[in-house]
Amino acid sequence: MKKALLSIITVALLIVTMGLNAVSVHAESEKETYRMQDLANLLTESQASSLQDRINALVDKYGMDLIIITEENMADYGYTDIVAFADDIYDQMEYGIGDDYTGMEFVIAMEEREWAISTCGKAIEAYSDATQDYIMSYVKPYLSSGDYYMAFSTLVDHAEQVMASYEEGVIYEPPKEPYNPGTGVVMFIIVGLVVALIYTAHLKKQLKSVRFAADANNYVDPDSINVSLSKDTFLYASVTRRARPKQTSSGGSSTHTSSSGRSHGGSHGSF
Amino acid sequence: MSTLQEYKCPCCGGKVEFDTTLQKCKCPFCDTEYEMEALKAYDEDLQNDTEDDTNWNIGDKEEWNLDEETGLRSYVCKSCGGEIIAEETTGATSCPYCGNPVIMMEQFKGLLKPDLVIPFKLDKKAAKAKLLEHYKGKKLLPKTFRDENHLDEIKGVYVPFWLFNTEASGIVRYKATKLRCWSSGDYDYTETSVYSVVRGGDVKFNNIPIDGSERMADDLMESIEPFDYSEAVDFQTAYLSGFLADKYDVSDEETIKRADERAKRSLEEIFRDTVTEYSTVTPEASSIKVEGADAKYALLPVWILNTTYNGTNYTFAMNGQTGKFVGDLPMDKGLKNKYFALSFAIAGIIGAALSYLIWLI
Repeated sequence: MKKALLSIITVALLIVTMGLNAVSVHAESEKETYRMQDLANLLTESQASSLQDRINALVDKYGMDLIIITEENMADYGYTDIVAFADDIYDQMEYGIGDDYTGMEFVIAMEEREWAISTCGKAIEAYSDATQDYIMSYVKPYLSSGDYYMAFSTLVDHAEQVMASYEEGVIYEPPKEPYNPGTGVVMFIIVGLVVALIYTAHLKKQLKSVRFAADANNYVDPDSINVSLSKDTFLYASVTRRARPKQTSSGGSSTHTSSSGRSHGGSHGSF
Repeated sequence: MSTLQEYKCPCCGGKVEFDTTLQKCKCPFCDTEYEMEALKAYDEDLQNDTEDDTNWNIGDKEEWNLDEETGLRSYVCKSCGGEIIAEETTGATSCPYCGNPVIMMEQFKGLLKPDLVIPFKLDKKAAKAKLLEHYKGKKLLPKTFRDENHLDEIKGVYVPFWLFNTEASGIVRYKATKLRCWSSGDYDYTETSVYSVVRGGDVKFNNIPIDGSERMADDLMESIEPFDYSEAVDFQTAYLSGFLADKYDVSDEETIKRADERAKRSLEEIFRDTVTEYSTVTPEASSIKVEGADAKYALLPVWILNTTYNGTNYTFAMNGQTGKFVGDLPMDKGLKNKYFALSFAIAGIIGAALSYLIWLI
């Protein structure tokens, strides 16, 4: 039901954006025009077309799809989960290059103020979780401040680096964050304080040797020890459940399966 | 006053003392050594002597009453005739005038006779050496305490102890938990199983020593335990020659409570050691009774060392048999701050360097 509704709506949207001549949505030449889909009208026409041109050039050059979509909301389409929303658009619109639908799609829903990245095919590998985090650390401030052109432009800049690197056979790795001297100061104080307290407590303890003997273990007749009663009775058991923290490794990409059964990578958040 | 005893050398008339190395009595003047067995026989003869002497001891009672209030007694030294003032409980001391060792026989007669004694095995020199060893490795000990160390007093004391043979029996109930962890899907599961664990039984104790001297700090005496009773011998006053000795002034009935406490704790520990394979164990109820206490009266060898530093008295004690040395020491606050700052700086730098290394990886 959801799927059918989505197809209808997206087709309708396409007709609106691309004019009434959008008969075959799958044709390569027409795809080019909707890789930058500003359905929420966040960009001026010239901004949108400049981004459009850059994206098309990159896709042609590297053979990896790149799509940016802005939506007014996702609730109207019956979605509450931005990940499913992004995946379904990707799958329904048959984005992606080649048999494995290689490509990366960035979706924002304005009313929900949520964003999602959905990757597919080789792009899952190319955009690792760490890379996505790194890219979003630059994009998100622009999204939050409402500078959408800069946000998408930054996204495209970074995507170009990822695609160029992948083309050379190297999976892009985000540069390390610079060492924060604050961490060093905090570690200095915490480690120093803990060790100094333990050490001086140890030194103070050396001075004390007079204390009461708590027990009489030295005087136990070893042959007389007799533990005649030994009873262990099970009373009850209780089980607690805790969500396991998701594994995130810098080199890897986490994946999930979309409603169409295709495997997607990606990340999401709010701004 | 007649009850003062000196062991005179049958050879030269000098005063014989117990020698810790030889474990015999030895005359310091002519180097003659005496077997303890020989002195025991001599001892018995001497006791007969004192009984004979009681008749002319007329002034004794009067003097006793006079000194009762102060808790002091006076004796007359048999060697030089000087008056020896000693505490009511003193059993052996030395004459302040001629230095001869004297033993107050009446303190160890009849019901007051100790059942056993562990003779001193370590002498004054060993005690002094152990004190220096005790200072070693104590980083916060004030330098001046170590350097300007003048011992006010060093004395070998036979301290009266009550040795209790007891039997503890009872039941302890614990609440114990076992944890089992596993993962399934996106969740970690923890199963806590709660058990009621009961342990019961009994155990015997041999010779739990409780100090029977009011003067000796109980924690100090408990700190130098244990003594090796296999070296204990039947009491003879000759062992006291050359040392100080006190008779008990805390009765066995008064001290038995402490022995019971310790026995009870030990039985609890024995039970606790059998409660294994649990993640947590909390005692919930304990019912232990200690009974069948019979007490032996023993004199155990202790070296007591006293020193004064900055107006405070510091007392050390050494087990005169095993050499176990205890005594709290003063702390140099300046040194403490120095070590605090130093360890803070070193550990802090290592901590900061580690955080940088972790960032590099």
